[in-house]
Amino acid sequence: MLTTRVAHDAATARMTALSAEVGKLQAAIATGQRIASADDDPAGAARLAAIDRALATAASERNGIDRAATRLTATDAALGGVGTLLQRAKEIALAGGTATLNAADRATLAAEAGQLSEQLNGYANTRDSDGASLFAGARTGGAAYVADASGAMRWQGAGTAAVLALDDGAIPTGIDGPQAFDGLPAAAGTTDAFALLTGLGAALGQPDPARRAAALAAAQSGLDAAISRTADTRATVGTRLARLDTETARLDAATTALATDQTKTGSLDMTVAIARLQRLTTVLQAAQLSFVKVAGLNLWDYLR
Amino acid sequence: MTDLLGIAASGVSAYQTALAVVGENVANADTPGYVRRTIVLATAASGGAGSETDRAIGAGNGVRVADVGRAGDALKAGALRDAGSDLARISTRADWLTRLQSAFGSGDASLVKRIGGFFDAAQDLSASPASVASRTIFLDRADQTAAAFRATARDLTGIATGIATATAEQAAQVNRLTATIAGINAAVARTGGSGAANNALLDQRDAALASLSDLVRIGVTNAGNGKVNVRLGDGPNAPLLVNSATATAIGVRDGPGGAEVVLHPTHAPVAVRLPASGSLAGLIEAGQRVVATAAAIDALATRFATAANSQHEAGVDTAGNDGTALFATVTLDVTAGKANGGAAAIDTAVGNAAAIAPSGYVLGFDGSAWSLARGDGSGAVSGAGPLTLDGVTVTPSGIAAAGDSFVLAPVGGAAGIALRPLAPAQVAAASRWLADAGGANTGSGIASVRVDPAAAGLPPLPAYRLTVTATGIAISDPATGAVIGTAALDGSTIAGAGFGVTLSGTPAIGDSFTISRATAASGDNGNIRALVAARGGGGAGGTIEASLDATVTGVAASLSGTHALAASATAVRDDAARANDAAGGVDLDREAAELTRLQAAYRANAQVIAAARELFTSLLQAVAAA
Repeated sequence: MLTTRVAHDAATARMTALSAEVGKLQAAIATGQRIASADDDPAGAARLAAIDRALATAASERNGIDRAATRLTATDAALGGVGTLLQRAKEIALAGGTATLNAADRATLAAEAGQLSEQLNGYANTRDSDGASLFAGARTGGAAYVADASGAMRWQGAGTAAVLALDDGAIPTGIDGPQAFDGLPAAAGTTDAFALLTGLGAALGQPDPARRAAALAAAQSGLDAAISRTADTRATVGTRLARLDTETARLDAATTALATDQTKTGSLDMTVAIARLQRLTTVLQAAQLSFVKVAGLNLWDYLR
Repeated sequence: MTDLLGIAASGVSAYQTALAVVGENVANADTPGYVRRTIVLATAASGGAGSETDRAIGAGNGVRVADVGRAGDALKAGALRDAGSDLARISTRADWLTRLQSAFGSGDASLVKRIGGFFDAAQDLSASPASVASRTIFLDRADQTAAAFRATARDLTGIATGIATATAEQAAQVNRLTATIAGINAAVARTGGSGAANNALLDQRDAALASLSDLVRIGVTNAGNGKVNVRLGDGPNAPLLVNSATATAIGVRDGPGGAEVVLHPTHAPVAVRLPASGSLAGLIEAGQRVVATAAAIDALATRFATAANSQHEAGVDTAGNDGTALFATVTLDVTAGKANGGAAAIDTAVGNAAAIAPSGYVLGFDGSAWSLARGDGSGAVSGAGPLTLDGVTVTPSGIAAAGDSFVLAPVGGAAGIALRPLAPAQVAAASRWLADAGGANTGSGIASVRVDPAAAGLPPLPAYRLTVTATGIAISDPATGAVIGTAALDGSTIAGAGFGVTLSGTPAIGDSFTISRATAASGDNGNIRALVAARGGGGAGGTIEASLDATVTGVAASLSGTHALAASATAVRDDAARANDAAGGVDLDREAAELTRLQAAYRANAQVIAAARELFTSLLQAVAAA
């Protein structure tokens, strides 16, 4: 009976607690989140914070992979162009060695070689969509190769291209100029692809047949080396792109796993929650009705 | 006949009083501290008709009201007070811990998300180090992180102040209540321990004891003459707060382990152990937690800023200049003098946090010139415009009145962290030193270079060339070709000028490596990558974020545990309240039943009077007839 103050207060407190619980459950259903503040489940909240962080990092890494892929794809395209160009240069070197050609024919070939040389300079200074030099290492702001006073192309870069740091490794996002074009074996020391093309033009202009033949042979073997170097470099780029694909797949899998974990840790089980809400509201209604009934029951009504 | 009339009259009057007691009970059914009154009836002493010598057989002298008592049970009231103390402590702690938890922010504005956002922006910047947009976002995130640290520090200070105010207020309330109880003790002694006035005093004293027990755990013992003694805690050795009619004041002061309670704070204070019960204990516990949390956040802020600054300083910005500190770790808090007549605004900029005087600075205006001096009075500078002292530049603006003064107090920790005014181009994303292998190299050697400000093994040059020779490594200046040094080829670090370089792998003779300082518009991301890597760097409590997580989870776990305790403490308190209510509470049904019973008794007595009157009348008639 609710005839004492304490009993009355206790009944009201029970109803207040019930409606507070209903309100809390309703808020949880509205947000779909099981944990409204960290004290609801400290361990779960800490786990959620770690998952959120890992998801943000994964998103950042995805972004980085996209940027790296753009750069590497552009590098691959440029190296593909260089390969075709060097192939054509080798054909010119072969054609130039044919005895039936006259000086005018050789001059035409030499002009084409000059054209190829300029094209190669263009490829070496390719920039990506952000305007960063692909072959300049870390010095992406300027041109990768500039002709010096003697006309020889000199690498202007320094360092290595920006490195994409991922969870378990670092992937260089570019090829440095010297790696692609320099250090080709020559009769004496080394030479570079630019010098080879310049040399091809000079060899075609050589009037002495014996000397011309020797120079063209040297150019041919040099171009072979350059072609194989370009193919190797492209293979390196291809490997890195493949690695990026693997990393993307790994990140996708990790993101899915994290998202599942996030749902498991933080999401509300709607079925259970709604059933519980139903039960709580029923209990609350019953409590309110019985309160009214019971509070109305007292002896004073019979003192008439 | 007169006997019967007298007896019936005493019954009517006794039951009238009894009915009045029921009325009193019903009227006070909802009064806090009110304890149900009971009426004690006793037979009236013999006398009047019949005496010692004349042993007449009489019916007696009727009834009298022996006492109007209080139905309370002291033990149950004590148990309720103790349960109330426990609940007050837990719920007070829960209230303040909830505020403490909210100080970390929620959702995307939370401190932990802000720190994560800073490192994520650094990671994004490392993917496109030349992008101005990425740099701007990075600086914005750095600013947000610093702001989140400051906001958390501000909230923590606010909570600490709130707790200190509440603690002082509660101590004062304890003193008011103990003084009230002492006063009531004195009054109770004067009433002689009975009567309506006495009962009202006891009600008031019980209400005061209940209020006091919400604040601190008390032990109440009977001191005789209706007085009680009140001790701070249980047991005979607990300090007396109320001794008969005198009260001992308590106070709160800062002790070595946070706030502590002292007896008679105004003269010869004595520290006492506060029982772990009552809202004052809850406040002191919450206060200790806040202090510990603030210390952890301060340490974390310093660690974060130091890690970010030292890494940022190791890089170079877009213009090719060395990176500067990213965050100011000490800021100056400007407080205008209370008597200031002007409305000048003071802008401060800190050059070097380490150079700031710990005593702070004082800025004054004499009507024509400003003067800036350290807090200890040394090193004064004066002039009209911006003043610089210890690298601190103070720029007054607006109109000041002569005699105006400002106090500039250094603030460190989480409250002092601020993003320094940097342009996007000043973000040092690139490594300071670049190493690259010569294009003609045939070996597999790799040169790695790192910043080492102390290294001075070589003269400062924009670039160095390392050439592997038959005897070791020849170091030359690529601009002139002049050899400036040699080193052994053994994998050891070669000290350069502000850097150290290591050759690893198997370089071939004739291979060369170039070490060059990063120039303007470097597309390198080495330094920002190192900053991202610093995110995983260990320290006290793991990484910065793990350490913060531990602090946040610690508070949350403590709050969650407090909630669980509150549920059980509430149940215990409710039980104790029910038990106490059964003994001393007013049950309206019981009063209604009493009322009907007493009414019947009253009516019966009235009937007896009527019967006596009839008897008397018949007797008179008989006499008249005779």
